[in-house]
Amino acid sequence: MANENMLLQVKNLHTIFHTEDGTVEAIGGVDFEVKEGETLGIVGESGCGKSVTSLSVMRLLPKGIGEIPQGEVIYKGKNLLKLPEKEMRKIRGKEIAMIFQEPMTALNPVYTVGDQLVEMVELHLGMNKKEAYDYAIKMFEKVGIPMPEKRIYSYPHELSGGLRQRAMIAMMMSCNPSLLIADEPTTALDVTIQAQVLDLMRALLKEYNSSLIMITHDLGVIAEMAERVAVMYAGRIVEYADIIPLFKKPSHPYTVGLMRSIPRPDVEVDRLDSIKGVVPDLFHMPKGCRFNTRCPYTTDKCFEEEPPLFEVEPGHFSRCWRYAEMEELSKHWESGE
Amino acid sequence: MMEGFLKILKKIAKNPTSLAGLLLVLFFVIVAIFAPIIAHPEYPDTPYQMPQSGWSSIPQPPSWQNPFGTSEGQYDIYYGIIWGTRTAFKIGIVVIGLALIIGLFVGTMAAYFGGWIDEVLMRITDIFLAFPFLVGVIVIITMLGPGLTHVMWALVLFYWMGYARLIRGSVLEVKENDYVMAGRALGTPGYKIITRHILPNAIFPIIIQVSMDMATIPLTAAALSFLGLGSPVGYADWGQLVSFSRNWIISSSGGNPFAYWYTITFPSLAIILYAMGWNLLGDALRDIFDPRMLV
Amino acid sequence: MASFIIRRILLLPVTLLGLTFLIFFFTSFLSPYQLLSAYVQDPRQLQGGNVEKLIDKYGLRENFMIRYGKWLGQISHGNLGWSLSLNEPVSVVIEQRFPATLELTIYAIIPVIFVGIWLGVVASVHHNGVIDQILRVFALLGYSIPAFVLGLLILFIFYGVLGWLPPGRLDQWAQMIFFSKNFHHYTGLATIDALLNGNIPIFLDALKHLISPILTLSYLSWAGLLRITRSSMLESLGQDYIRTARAKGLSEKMIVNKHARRNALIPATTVAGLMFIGMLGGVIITETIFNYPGIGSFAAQAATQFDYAGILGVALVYGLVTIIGNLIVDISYAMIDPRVRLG
Repeated sequence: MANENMLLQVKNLHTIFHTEDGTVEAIGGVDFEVKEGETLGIVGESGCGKSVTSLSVMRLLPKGIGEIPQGEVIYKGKNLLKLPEKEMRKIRGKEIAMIFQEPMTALNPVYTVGDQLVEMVELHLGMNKKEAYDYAIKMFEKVGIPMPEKRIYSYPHELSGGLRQRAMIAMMMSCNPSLLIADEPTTALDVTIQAQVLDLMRALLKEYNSSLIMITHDLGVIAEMAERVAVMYAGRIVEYADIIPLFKKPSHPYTVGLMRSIPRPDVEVDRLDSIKGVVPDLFHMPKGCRFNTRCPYTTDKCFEEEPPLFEVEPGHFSRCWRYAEMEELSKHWESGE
Repeated sequence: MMEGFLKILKKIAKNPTSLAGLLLVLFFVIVAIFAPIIAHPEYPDTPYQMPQSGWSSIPQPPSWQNPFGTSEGQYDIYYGIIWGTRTAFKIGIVVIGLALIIGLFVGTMAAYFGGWIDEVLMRITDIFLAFPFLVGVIVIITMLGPGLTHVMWALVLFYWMGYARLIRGSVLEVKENDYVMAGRALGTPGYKIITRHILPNAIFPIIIQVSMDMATIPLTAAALSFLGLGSPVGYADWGQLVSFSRNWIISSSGGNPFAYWYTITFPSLAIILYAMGWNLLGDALRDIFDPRMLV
Repeated sequence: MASFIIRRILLLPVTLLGLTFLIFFFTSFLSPYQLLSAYVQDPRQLQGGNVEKLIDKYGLRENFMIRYGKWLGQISHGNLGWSLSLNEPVSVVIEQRFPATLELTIYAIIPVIFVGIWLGVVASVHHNGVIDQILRVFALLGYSIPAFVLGLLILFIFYGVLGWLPPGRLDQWAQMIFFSKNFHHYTGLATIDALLNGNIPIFLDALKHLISPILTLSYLSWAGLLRITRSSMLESLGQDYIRTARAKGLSEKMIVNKHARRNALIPATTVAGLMFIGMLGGVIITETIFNYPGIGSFAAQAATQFDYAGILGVALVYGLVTIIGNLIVDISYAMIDPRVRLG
């Protein structure tokens, strides 16, 4: 499967956490691919392993706590997990950059936003201070920050949430990375600002021909941005498909539930359907299918054996025993109270 | 409550340094309680007065009669250390108790009522805090005259502010909680909300602080006795014992300074172990109650 | 930044007034006769029947606010009264002794601030390593040995047993030179003046006398600053912006020394300020142990000898220094944390 424009391949990725109360598996065998210039969406509720996946790819798991016992992360033909730390540092920021959810805490409060951009281009692009500052102004202008020559001297707390996230994007795109990982980049923002930031990201990605992994709990954002989607639940990918087949023919009850949670202006409903219950915590994973505590369509088999990833149709995978009946079943969604 | 207490004990026992702290504190508590048995007072009416076995000024080395030797003026060091433990606890409990009462009052008033009451009380607190603790205490003692009671008053006067701030902070935090809001909305009287809901929740940071202060306060009093501002001569007090040793251990008169090692060793050891016990215990409690500091 | 400093300086007089009020309030415990020493500039003024006249003159029987006002008038003219314990005007005593205390405190605090913070960072980076454990024990001892015990132990070992580090400020011979007419007193600090006069033996002698009191005075601060730097570094290293810095590909060195340390310095600065104020109290004990002729030993002496004028003078100096210390802390705070500067 050595595809020529393949950028990133994650194979059988496992991540475990060593906590005070024992060792738990946060991700158990995740596979996905990102092609050049493509956007992959990873969707799921909080606690389902999306962020851990991205941190594992970047090898930014908390030291001594998070560990990757098996799996491969192949980036441009190199397995990142085998790279010495020094080499990995050249990948971070330059090749793969990352945007976080809460720009207030993700930016260092005691340095100006300009300084935080400058130190990065000094490091990766070898510019001197003067060049780096000029470059920073250019980047700020590019992401639509007004008065960039002044704003680079602002501290994070002096900017609005939207501007902070723009500054973050300017910083992370400054070294022209081939892959950008955005972890809920718009969740902390107002709806109107959200749309602007998404537009901005799309435009930048196109200009730089960069790929994106968009991590979100919001299928709406996925629909707008992604070409391929991985739906994650409890440390597993439960459905993996191109965007159109996914929306047309969701084949896992969790995906169906997520879609029903989106408010739709064209359908009148009494209330928003949502999936009952919460993601089980890592210490108390159910036997069998991990979704069986919340699934409305369970059979006995679901409590005994965990389903493998079935190929629903070429390129469309689902981790449900009843994937074939899903179209019929989803017409009678019983949401919990 | 009992269950929580046992849980805390179990956690302390798991960590060797925490356990050492707890055992040290328990040891001194036992010494203080059983002082009359461990060191039988010669004059039951004035047990805090250290017995003298002569009038010579030269300290005498440890012997059967004086296991830790005698200090200058022939005061029995062993007796002084045992009853000095009681002195330390007495000072600690009285001063911290009073400071805590003032702090509780000021802190809860300020936080609960807020507004100008808060403003006024906190500015007064700030003024007291703007003064180095020991200097403030010494100024007061000068005005009142030396003596253990005056030392305790002076310590209280300059020590309540920390508690007031701590309690104010805790109360402010708890005040916003749903059950307190609900209580207020239902018309529960203020004092009931304070005693039922707010204080129990503010208690842990106070316990940690008290444990640390049980080391600080008696040692400050001992330092003042060392300066000659605290207990009267002959009163069983660690600070006084240490000050007795000063002239002998530097022995500028040409003698061997090691000859009088016992005059400094035993009182210092008592002081250091006492302080270490409370500090370790305080650390342990902090680790248990405040996971943010658990590092 | 500049406006922040100006605002803080404009607040100074208000704070000063509050402080003098508190100090004078304490004198309410005293009778007019006891208080009179705080006004007299020479004991000869008290001869004959002058005592009552002076009490009237300074309004010592008036109500508190009038007394306070008149006293403010006196101290603003530099009249701090007559020290009974040293038989000199209090202002003269302070002028002579303050530089000695300043010298001791400066030498005690500066290494603490620089090396103590550095050690705290080292301990946090090698979290639970050997260095961390050693520093932990060191800090625990610092908390548990009170200054008067530590000072005496140091005196015992380094003077009593080894005879290396004598008490006092200067040896007899050095004092003769130091207080002679040919010796210029530029700063009042013995070490600095000795260097400026080109007198190395006096410099070394002064240094020899300073080592023990510096150790005694600063040990607690070492422990405190180390501990707070360590724990705030550990907290800072767990923050989101550190993850961002890692995601940017910065080296571990940059992450620790730039991104984490600056943030950890914020609580460390607060503690350093408290340490400084604590040290001001600590000199009372340290100077007494080592017979070091500064403000602290004067305070102890004045307190034991009912020298009311002396203790009021000392309180004023301490209050003033504390306020200035707090100002410095506030300014460094603002330099480290931009949120304070603009708030």
